[in-house]
Amino acid sequence: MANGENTPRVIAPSVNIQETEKEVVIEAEMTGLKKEDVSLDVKGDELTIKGVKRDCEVPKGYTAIYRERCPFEYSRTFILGDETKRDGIKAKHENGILKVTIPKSEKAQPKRIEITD
Amino acid sequence: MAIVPWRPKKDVWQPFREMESLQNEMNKLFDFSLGRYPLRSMGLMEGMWSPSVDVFESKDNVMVKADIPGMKKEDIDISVHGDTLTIKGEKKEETESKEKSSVKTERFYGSFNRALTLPSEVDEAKVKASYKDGVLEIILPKKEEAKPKQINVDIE
Repeated sequence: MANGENTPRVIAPSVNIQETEKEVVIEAEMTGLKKEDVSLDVKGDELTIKGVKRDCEVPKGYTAIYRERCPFEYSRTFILGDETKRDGIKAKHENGILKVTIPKSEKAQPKRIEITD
Repeated sequence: MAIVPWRPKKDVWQPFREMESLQNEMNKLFDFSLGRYPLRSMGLMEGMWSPSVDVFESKDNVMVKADIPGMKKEDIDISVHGDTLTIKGEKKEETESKEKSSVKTERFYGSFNRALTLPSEVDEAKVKASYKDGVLEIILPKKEEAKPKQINVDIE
């Protein structure tokens, strides 16, 4: 049984991506995870976010009647491109949302050119 | 000997052109039904999303877990009526500041509603709920009369 009940299904979390002048912010919906179950890897040009849902076990003393939430594994890869920096990437996991902040490289930031007479 | 006269091309049946227009029509249909961005502002996205749930049962309690990412506790509304549990709420979009521009918006915003039939009648007054890591956990104690009873029957 390769696809048995205990084999987690890998799903891509829904994301919002926003951009400011200085950074790119990715917000991914990953519920039912603790901070330590989330991983972020940068390999070359790719940023991969992963997470394993931990609260999938049937609570002690209970039997399962109906299940839709488990077992799931979240995984999604983004291409960083040369407009973003590889270091200085920050991540926060709060209320089931993983927020990744990626700073933009200097060359991607707009430059204002003053007009002289 | 008859000479076949030259005809303009529009008289000739062109199956591929017809297939192309069919494809365009299909694309329009999918654009509409899959809820692309303009539909959200039109309010047509309402009821398009509802949380995934797990339901567990023990001797004394029913437990319901629901995945609702990125909510405030105050925005979730739980009600119980007989053996029906209703989870309602509204996911509010953070007000976009001017210097931010959206590249991708896949997360759902708006109101949602999910009603579930519980495996037994519960005591509405004793329902407890908590919200952590985007998971809503509700514990609903069963009514005394709904709990399984053991009756000893003497066999003669």
